Amino acid sequence: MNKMLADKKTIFIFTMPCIAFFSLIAFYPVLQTAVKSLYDWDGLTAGTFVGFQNYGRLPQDRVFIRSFRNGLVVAAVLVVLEVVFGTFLALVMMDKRIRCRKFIRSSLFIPVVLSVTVVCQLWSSILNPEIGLLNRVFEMLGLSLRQDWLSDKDCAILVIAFVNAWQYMGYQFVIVYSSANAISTDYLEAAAIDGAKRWQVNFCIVLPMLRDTIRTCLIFAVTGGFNIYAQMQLLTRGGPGTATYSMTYMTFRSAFKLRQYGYGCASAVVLILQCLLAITLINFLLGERKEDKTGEKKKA
Amino acid sequence: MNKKAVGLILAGAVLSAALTGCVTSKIPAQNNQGQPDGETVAAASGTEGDSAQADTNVKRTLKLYAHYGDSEREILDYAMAKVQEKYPNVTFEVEAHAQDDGQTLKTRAATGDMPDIAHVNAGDVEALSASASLMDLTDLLVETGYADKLAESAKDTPYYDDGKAYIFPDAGAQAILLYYNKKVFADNNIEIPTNYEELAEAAKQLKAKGVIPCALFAKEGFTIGAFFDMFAMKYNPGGIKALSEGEAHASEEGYTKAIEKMMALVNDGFFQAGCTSADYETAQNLFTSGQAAMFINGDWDIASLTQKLGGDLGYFTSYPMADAGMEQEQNYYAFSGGYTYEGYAISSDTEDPALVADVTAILAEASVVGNYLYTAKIPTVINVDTSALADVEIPPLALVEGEELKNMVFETAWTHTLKNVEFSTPFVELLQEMLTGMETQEAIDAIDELVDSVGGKR
Amino acid sequence: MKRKKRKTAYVQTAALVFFACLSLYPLFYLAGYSLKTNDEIFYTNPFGLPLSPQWGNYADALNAFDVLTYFKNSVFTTIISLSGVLVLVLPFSYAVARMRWKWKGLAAMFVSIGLFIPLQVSLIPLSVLIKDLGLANTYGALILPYIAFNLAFPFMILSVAFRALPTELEEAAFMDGASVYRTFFLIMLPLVKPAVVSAVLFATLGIWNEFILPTVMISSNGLKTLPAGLASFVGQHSTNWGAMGAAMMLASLPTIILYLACSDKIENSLTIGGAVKG
Repeated sequence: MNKMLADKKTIFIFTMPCIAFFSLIAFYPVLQTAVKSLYDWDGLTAGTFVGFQNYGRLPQDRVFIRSFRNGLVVAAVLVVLEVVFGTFLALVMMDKRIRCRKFIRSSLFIPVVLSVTVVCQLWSSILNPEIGLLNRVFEMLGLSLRQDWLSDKDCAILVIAFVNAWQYMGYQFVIVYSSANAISTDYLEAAAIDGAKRWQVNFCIVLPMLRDTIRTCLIFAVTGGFNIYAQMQLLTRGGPGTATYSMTYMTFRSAFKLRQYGYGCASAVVLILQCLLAITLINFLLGERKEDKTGEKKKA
Repeated sequence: MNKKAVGLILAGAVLSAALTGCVTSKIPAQNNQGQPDGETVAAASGTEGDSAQADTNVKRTLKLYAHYGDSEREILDYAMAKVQEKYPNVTFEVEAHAQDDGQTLKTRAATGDMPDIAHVNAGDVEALSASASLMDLTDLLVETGYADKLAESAKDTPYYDDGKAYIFPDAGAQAILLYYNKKVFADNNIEIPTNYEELAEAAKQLKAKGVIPCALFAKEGFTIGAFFDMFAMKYNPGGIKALSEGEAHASEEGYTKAIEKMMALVNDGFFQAGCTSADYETAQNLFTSGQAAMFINGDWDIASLTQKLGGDLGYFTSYPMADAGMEQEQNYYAFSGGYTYEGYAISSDTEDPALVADVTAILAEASVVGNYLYTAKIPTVINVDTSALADVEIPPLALVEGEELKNMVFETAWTHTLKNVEFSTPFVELLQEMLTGMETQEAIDAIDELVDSVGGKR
Repeated sequence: MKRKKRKTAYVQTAALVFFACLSLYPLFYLAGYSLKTNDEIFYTNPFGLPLSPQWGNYADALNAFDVLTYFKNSVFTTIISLSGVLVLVLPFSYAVARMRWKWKGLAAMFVSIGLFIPLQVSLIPLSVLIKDLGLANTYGALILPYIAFNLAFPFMILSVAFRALPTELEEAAFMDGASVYRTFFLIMLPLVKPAVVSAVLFATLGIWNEFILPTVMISSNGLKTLPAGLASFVGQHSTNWGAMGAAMMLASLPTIILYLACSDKIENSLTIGGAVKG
């Protein structure tokens, strides 16, 4: 069997179309971006080669530092709200005794289906300091948490991350939930017979078996966090000032607002490298493990 | 959910889409190569401008990239109809302006797919002129007669920094006004302020009565830029423009005083909470509903505001930011605004430039007239004989403003028309930060840093 | 003891239902604001039911741009792109998950870059590339990038799904004399159907709501997709939010229907143990 699965010709046929297509259409422009990052370019005329000058400029650019930091903050928030919370919800939903599961499951996913514009419009209204729902609710509850949600230099980015998480939590939930459901009930029954309580079953059996799935979700959340763009554009336009800039937004600003396309390319390359690093790290920590039939785990 | 029903619906949609898709997908592609059909190839011989102009039955579809949103639709439709009065067989394929900081236009230029006619601003022209994507209209402006129609004060507007003309300008002189609601002031027994001291006092009193002194949509940079200028121009009529060209520094006496006054007002709560993420509708609503006593926006809003406030609407004939007793001396008529570099440009590789230029000239002129007919904007960029046009109800305030416009001095510029983008983009961001709480000295230092970074001369 | 368990179940159900309603609210909000005036949306009545339904907004939406053509284009590009994605990604995922070759880790990482390609800067090189391929301003200008950018996420879902299948399946198949191709098509593929449905759903969402490409890459109105039409509502100085809301309702409906139709398939669990035993 191993021989058949290692047949070079088959592997080639299975993988080459995908790789070739992706390389040409997706990767080639990225490569060009990387090349152009070494130029002082305005996007249209031929630029002048400047080597790594653009990269040298980055650490001194206040805006870049801010964007980089924001990316990390957003990624962290997304991981907690999307992956952790989504997984938690999925595990809770596994309980067969919960009624209206179909309704709950379907509803949780609806925000994902809506366009980003709608969700941002909604939250923009809710977060409005004068007439928004959030501040009114706090008032009703007598809490003095009324705030200028989107205008606070430090708080605004957390709010934006929250809006993103709120919309896409359904994604993670569905992925984890369907994987969790695919786990053979044999394992769960066996554990129950052995006297394990629900939370023990979850922690010791279900979660480890969801390792691959959670890894996927983590990658999605982290890279999504670094990459966040639409929410910034719609809620605050990167404001106030540059407080809520993300790497992607900074790239856009450099390329189109400042007409420093080459510089924008440099920050884009840094973003890509950052994401690759994150993926490598996640893969390393949650690497693939193979299970044998008896459920014992050994490293791949 | 009846699975079968859903399945059928989806299948039906797919089938119809596939069928029509296959049939029509080829056709648009052919037209897009901009190949004129047989007739115009014969008529357009490039150098013979006259013969092409004389042949008004020419059949052509022109790609037009312009603002086609709700309020601009009527005007553009009117303008296109006007073109068709002269050229009945010229049709337009309109693409709504994406308003994405020139991303779309730039990409089209890179692929050589520029629309024949596009509505551009200074930012677009900066990028596109360098790559020779726009046609030089210096001669065509004269040939089409548009140059003659330009008002005296607007003669220079089509010309860009490199000395070439790239647009048929259609944006008139526009002032940014500080509007106020007479009723709100009257109800609260507060006098309309005439100078800074009175303004600050009025703001305090308004706040005490629970009224927001001024509504602002700081999500868009030009509003805060104008606000800054309201103070700065009292000392230096060049305002932001002078800073952006490195001609002045924030640490100069005039600017420093201006910034101090401005920050005092802001830190005291002059604007509504959350103004940096407020957009136009939110801010305008605060003003028209009486929750805010003042509002900053351009004069194009007079018509819409008059609709909601009627006779209660007023605007300050001079920004009330001067020092007490010095109102007349401190550049009374210095205003933010002026002519913006905006208009219709032509792609450099369009077929038969003479024809397209004539069409564009008609389009531009008709836009100005259309603006008058539909939004009561008094034409200022070209000379229009308004008596010959249909009767338009112009809000009295607009008439007043139209007259005042002739006295106004515009030596500064809007933030998004500043030629120096390396200054204006970070400057707007800095202004937003200033709105959310900043020390005055910090602000002055930051501005100076910016000015120096773009070559400020001390 | 049992009563306590039932109580916690009720509490949990209640909490979940509450969350579910919170998640559903945006739909009502959108439906509401598609029927309100600009004033209502922003100031007078942002969260409640419309005071006087502005059905005219829907008429405005339909008139603002050629909704039917754009809709048809959206459907067409989405379906073709999806087919492209599946054709490319299914064999690829299987090969990475189950076959033995040296470079599979690198290949996986390579394709994962698709998750975070910065479109803003790649836009100009990409459009020049499309033009060089002779596909400027055609359906291909949208379909090719959509396929390429939507390979990464389905790949991740599918490779996890393939990896979760027991190796006994291939062993049994090969012992029976089947080739790798037959095994792949007849045995492995059917077993990952829920994952395929998930992947299709996510890819569809990624394509249907995407608005940058049709705005920038396509200049002729006959080829644009729905999200590009939204630009028609945004004016230089003000926006007709009500009509835009109506257009967004129309654009969102198909995705909602699609999701509700697919959600059963996703929930359906296959007892993998059963596949082996049986």
